[in-house]
Amino acid sequence: MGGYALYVWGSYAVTALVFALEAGALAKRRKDTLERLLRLRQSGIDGTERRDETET
Amino acid sequence: MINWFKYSSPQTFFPLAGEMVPWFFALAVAFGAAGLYIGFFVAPTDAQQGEAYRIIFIHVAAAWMSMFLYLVMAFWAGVGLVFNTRLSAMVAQALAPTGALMTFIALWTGALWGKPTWGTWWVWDARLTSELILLFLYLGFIALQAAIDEPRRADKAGAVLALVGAVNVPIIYFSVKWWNTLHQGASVSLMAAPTMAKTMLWGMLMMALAFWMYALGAVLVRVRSILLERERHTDWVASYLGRLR
Repeated sequence: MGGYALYVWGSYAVTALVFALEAGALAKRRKDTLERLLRLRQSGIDGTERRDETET
Repeated sequence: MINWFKYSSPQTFFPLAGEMVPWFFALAVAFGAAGLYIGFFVAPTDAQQGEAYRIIFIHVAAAWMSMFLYLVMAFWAGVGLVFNTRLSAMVAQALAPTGALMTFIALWTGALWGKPTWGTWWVWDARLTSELILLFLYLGFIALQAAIDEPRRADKAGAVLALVGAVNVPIIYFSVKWWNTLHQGASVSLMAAPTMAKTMLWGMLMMALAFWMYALGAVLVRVRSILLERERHTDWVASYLGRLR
């Protein structure tokens, strides 16, 4: 890389890391959300009884 | 005629988004592979900057996406504010983290490009400073929404912030024209012929497409989680969860 390896690979490595971390966080969020909602459903406390549903 | 309004309803959008996600990620990989191949094996070494210029392929892609995603976020937040549509506000909310990450990548790669070519990691010139403000706008939007418990109020407050902050995007874009900046001027413009080698330009465009497709995939995955959370009291979420077991 003509003496610029640190700068070039430092850019590409951090970019790849950021995308990988975001993808991981998204997968975890989806898993946590589904688990939580399934748990709520199983315990009979589904969304209808929750207080914050002012959405129409 | 496609009835676009049909897709503005959460229960139609949710499965549609789910079907689109793998396609967007596949396109991101394909464009990314093409962009990296052109960027590292086809594009020549720059006459002035040597190999350091190869940072351009991710720097410009991330910087474009950071501005573009903000405008898309402000647009949907504004639509949500005016028409009181739930889905548009959720899309805006899903765009913010990916936009913030793109801004971070643009700043990070910019610093790593600035050090060897300008001799400094950072300088308070108009382009760099306004891009940093963009990062703070994204973070402010995320923090503001997280601080308000009631989702519809959070949507409204966030929308006002997003719309006011949108004025910063043209400032970033034109900063290199309006002020005398250390940052170089635009290499690519719709009005004039590009001032760079064709292969460099192609590598840059491929990477920009890859980042765009990745962002679409990531935002759709996130908006699906938000939809499930916020629509959990509805029948369609109940039947979706029922089908999972």
